[in-house]
Amino acid sequence: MKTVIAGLYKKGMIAAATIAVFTSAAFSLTYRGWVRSQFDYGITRSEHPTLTLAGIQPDKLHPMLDINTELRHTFYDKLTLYWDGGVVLNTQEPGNRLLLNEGMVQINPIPHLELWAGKRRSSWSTSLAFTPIDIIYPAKNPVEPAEQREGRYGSGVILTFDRSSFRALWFPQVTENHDGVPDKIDPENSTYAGSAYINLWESDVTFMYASINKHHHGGLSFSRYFTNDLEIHAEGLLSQNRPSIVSLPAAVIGMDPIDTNGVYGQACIGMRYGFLNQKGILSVEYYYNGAGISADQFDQLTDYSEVLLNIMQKSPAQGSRLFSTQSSSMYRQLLTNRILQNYLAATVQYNDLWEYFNPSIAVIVGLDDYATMAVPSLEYRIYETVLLKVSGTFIVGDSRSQFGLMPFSIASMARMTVFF
Amino acid sequence: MNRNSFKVIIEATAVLSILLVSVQAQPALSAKEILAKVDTVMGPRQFTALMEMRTQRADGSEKLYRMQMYRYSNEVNRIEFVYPPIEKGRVLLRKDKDMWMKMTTLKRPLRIAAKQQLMNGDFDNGDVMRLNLTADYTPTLKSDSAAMYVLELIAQDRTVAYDRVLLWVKKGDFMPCKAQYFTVSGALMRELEYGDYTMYGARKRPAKMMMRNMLNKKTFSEMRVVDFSPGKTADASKFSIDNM
Repeated sequence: MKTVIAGLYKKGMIAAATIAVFTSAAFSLTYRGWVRSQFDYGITRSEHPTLTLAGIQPDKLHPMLDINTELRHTFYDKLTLYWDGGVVLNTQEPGNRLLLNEGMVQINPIPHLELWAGKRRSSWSTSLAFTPIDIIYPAKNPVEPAEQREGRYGSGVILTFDRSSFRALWFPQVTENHDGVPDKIDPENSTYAGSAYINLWESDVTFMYASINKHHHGGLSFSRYFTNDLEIHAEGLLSQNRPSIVSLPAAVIGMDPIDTNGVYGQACIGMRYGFLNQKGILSVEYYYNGAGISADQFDQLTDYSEVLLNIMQKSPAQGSRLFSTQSSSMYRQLLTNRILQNYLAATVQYNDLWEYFNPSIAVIVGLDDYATMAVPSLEYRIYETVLLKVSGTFIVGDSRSQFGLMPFSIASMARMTVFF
Repeated sequence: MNRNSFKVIIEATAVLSILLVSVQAQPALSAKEILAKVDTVMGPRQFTALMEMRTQRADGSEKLYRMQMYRYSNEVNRIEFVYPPIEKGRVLLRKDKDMWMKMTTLKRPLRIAAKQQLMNGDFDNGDVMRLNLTADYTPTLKSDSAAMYVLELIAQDRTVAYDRVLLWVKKGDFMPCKAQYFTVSGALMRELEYGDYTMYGARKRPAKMMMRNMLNKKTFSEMRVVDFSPGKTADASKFSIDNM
């Protein structure tokens, strides 16, 4: 009995101390969040292998509900707890899940020094659609760069000064995870990274280095306004061994093996231009992906896709078996539009058309095969808390082009987001 | 007239002469000094302020924003949007001539320019983020009436929000009353009226600034100081682009 009372007393004291800290003047809490209801509908390419990989059921309306919160607790300006995550209720793959984009502890023991541990996404990139030096973090979809907010588990030290900052970061390899929380890590294959940021001549310049699975990557990014309306940015990455390219299942169809040794370069140069009294923004970027495959190799890949499609139609069970992890990765890369070598991305957006509407269009052209993806969208802002958005995705290119391998020819989306 | 009376007259004349000479010798304030006093009125070196911005659009609709502003030094300040929920978490940071904006969804700061409109209202980023007129403009005194100075301000470089400004300043307390903003070609773009002069502790400053768009007279934006704490600011770590 005594033990129970002692235990309750101890818990009570902890609760009281917690309440005292959380309600004291030294504690601050900011929060932001949203509830988002979304419906997707795609005119799919009938029984295409990528349908299975993307978990898409043909020609069906897919509802999704996403509840997201961001919480930031700060104690004495020295300790910050940050959370960005929530829950996704989804009728298609990957199904219902908890989502943790970021969750970390930040400590500022002395001015100019920050220590952090947890899950974080912190970009060094200056580009919008294509961000080659963001090699550490999960890749973004170039037509919706704000949709990918997931970081990586790790820890780091950041030194910040008036015009510069320096970072040293460590990310263990997560080999198994559940709802974004790692179950198993592999410290042997860790990622080590460092960066130096300098604010010089009204420009942002960042040098970065990363060792990923014992391969070296070095990069540089730059951004500057050259007139009051025109911002120019550029970034480049040199990698030892080919990054982000999977080993294609060459044995299945006798493809030539893709060499992954050597040094590979990626570069992106772009601009943002404000027009019509800065209400309109034009963003254009050219991306050279030296790590992408050649047009010939892509032809072989398309052959493989067609073989796979045939096998699936004749024997779905056997087709499914051929979907190894490697081929899944290949299609994921295809879905982030970075499998070939030359791309042009352009986005035009206009804010407050008739005071309430924000129309935009994002276009990506694969310059190796001239396949094109266009994503027009319209946001209607019911001011203060509610945002409605409708968008479509249109693909131009035959079934042997890179966007022709996508699981749909036309897709549409309607979304309502309520912010709180 | 006796000798003592003569001495008194001589002494009084001498004192009067000295006073007259000293009054005449006191130099009038230069345009730069007047502008520096306006800067001091508008913001001490460090402060925290809760600001409210209402923008009236051409169709009569109104938008309301609330933002917390932290000034760390004349060249460094930070704004955090706290209202509406759709914009909450948006952060602006200014360091000298550089400005960045971070939206929570993008997870990275973007460079912005001083001449871009703040939330598509009638204030530019530079109006709110660059409060140090002395550093940004070269002033000349255009008029010196009994109650008012009128200064002409010419931008020192292209990164400043406006190329030419006329600024009306009250004599005595150096409160700004009105400002007119011109393009390079000389067209009147905007007009700012200051009002509601309020004491915040020992400091007096305008609590209301009404910016009218002279090219589209249906739109205007009003910035109101809800709370102003001179001498108080955020931790130094908040003024880094790594911590936006």
